[in-house]
Amino acid sequence: MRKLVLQISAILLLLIVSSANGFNADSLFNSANGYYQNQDYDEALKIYLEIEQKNFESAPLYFNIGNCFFKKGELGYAILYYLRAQRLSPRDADIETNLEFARMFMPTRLEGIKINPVTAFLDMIVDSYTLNLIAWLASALFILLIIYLSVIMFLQWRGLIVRVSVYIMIFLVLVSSGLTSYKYRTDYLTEKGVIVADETRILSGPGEDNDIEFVGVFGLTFKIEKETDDYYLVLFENKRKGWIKKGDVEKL
Amino acid sequence: MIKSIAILAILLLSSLAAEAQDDIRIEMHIAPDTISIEDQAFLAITVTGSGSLPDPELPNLSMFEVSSQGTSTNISIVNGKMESTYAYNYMLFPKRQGTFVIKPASVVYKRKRYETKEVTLTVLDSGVGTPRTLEKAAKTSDGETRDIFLLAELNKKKVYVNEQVTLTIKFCYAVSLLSQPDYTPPQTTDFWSDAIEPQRSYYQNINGRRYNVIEINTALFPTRSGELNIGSAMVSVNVKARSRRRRDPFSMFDDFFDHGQTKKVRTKPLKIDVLPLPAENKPADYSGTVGEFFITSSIDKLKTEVNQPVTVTYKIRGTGNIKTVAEPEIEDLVDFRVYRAASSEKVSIIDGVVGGTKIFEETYIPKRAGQLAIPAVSLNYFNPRTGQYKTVSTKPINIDVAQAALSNYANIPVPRVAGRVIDDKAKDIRYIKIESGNLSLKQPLLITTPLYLILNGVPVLLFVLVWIGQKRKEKLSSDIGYARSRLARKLARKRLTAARKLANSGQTAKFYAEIRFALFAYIADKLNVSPHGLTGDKLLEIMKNSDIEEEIIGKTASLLRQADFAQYSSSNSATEDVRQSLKSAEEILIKLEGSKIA
Repeated sequence: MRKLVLQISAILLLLIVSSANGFNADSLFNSANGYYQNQDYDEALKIYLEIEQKNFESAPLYFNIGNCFFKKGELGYAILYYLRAQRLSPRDADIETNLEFARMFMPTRLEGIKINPVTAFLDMIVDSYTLNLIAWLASALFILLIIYLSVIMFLQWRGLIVRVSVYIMIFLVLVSSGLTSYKYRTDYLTEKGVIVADETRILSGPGEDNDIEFVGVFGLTFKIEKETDDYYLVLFENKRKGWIKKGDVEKL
Repeated sequence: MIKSIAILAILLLSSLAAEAQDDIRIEMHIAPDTISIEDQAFLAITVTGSGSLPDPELPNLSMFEVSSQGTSTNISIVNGKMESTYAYNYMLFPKRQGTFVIKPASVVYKRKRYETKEVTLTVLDSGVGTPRTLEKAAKTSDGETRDIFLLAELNKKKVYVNEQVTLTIKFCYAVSLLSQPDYTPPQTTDFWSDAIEPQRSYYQNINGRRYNVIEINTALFPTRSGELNIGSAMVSVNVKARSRRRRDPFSMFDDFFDHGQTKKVRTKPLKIDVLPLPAENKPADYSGTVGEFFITSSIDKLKTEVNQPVTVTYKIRGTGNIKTVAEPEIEDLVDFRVYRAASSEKVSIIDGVVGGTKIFEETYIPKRAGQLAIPAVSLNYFNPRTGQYKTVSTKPINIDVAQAALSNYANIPVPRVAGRVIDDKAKDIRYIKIESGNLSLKQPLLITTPLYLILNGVPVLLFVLVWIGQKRKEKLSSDIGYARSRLARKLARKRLTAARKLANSGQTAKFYAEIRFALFAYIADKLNVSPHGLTGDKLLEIMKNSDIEEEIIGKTASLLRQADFAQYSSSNSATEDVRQSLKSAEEILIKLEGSKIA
């Protein structure tokens, strides 16, 4: 009992100390908005990035950072931050619009993207939701199923309807947990990145003396397969592979 | 009116000069500009340009004895453009006192004549032409002359923030140097600085002694107001030690072996009063530009189509710290989308004054057809010479925008992402979000937290518990033997309690009957047989078969006997016996509970 009291007071103390640090992310956010309003994009960006550096995040924060980069003409970074915002808030129309607007300025686009119907279908479903939302849904369905099974057992329910409803629920649980693991695998276990330099060379090996496979432009996204000290081995959506300098890209 | 004409003329002239500088440039310098009759001045004419350069035409120098010091060439490559500089150097020896104006030198290049400014040389009586500061610096406190010294001077005592002040450092020496002078420039933390090339070197008579002078000029632009400090400059050099003039036959080798002594000379730190820019009449959008500038614009074409860009090139030219000139912001317009295409700057120093050109290009993409005007762009600056703010602007440009031909629509890049269409009316990115949207510290992913595991584990555990409970319930209801065996102990305890009550109320016979039944029922329940079919002997036999201790069996036998006796004798037993029987009954039941009944 005494130990518990001690623990609780320690946690309370920690909370007081951390709030006493005086870092108020919301008021900083508002002041950055003011600078943006006055078209001082450098200063606004500086403050937004400071908030991000303190490990805070939210979709509007990333969105506003993206806007600042856009206004400064750094479209690679703008696209990077819009994508980060989209991960937190996938159905936000503003983010979608600005991301597409920024992409309109990309001088080239990837050619020859082959669409796998299965993953395209799965992507279509999971792209609109955050991983946390799908995970909560899967968890809720699972708990519901367990409670339902317990009730059936306890009250000795029998009959076709009961059986069918159990099957339906099992199916839903399987689908939702499957989508959770699919989303987790594609969005988080597979590392992704964006080219932020205006132009970068995709090489056949990790080093300047290798052949150029092709030239990538800002805003192109890719999966990271391997890395050395200075280079990533990346896979673009059109299945082209190559080594890219770490300094020219940012991880999502 | 006259004033404005004069300004116009100046602008025109300087624009011509600036045009000219793009191809070829000719300059003439004289140093020092005041000498005494026994001194000489150093005249340099430099021609800078690309390609092969013509020789300059010299001005009339008949009032001096002229000795050519040869030419020097310097080739530099700036922005991929090769530029060569030819310097023609002359030493002028005055013949008489007076003020002499040296007419401009000139070159003819591509059928055009380029001229320098004229320069003036003042020749004074002997020993008069030396600046007092130099004379003072050349003397030690006890009146002796120094062999070597360093002097720093500023050309202004008071400047505005970001106005040019020129720092001149003169290294003077009257002894031969045994090494290259090692120069450490002064600390100028609160200034932007630009070196004014080239260094100048000449002779000067100071206090009757002839000194070599090397002059280094630096343009400084204060970055803040207040009294600012300029640190000491230092030169470290090996000079010939003052020999003691020993007359020995080997003195001829002295020079050879003399490594000299290292001398360090430094300047006094300087202070300068920097005035803040006046708040009065300051334009609202003033961005800190100081100097004298003008801005022009040119367009690549006057006719275009909707969505076809035109490029307007803006040139800001003038004197001042060109690097800090802020490019005017050009806002998005109703009729155009505007993008900054390129920007570059070039610093040039003419006659010790820093200036240059800043060029930036804006791309205007017309949104609709018709006669459209690209508005004027203006630039604010503070002119330190007049102490006034001034605004200069370009002229608006009218362009004809035709409706795009149908085929042109096909060329407009359309995002090739399946299922996504951008609103045609989208002109700009959507505005930032005002709400911070639950700004919080980054959370680990839900599915990797222990909470998620617990959340999903607890129902499973619950389910298992329900399942076990349910299984037991099922067994109880379907297997009577199992149920009786599970309940045997509970019932036996109940009966003993009842027996105790009977004993307390003195009903001895009933008490023994109850005890007896408790024992029989317990065994019967355990074996799932009827208690009524059991006899005392049978019970003892079962107990024997079940590996129960002899002592307990003995006790049971005696208890049963006592019960029989009490039941049939109908006489009341002693209370002591009753209590003893109850105790042994409890003991027997406990023992039976601990052993397996077969």
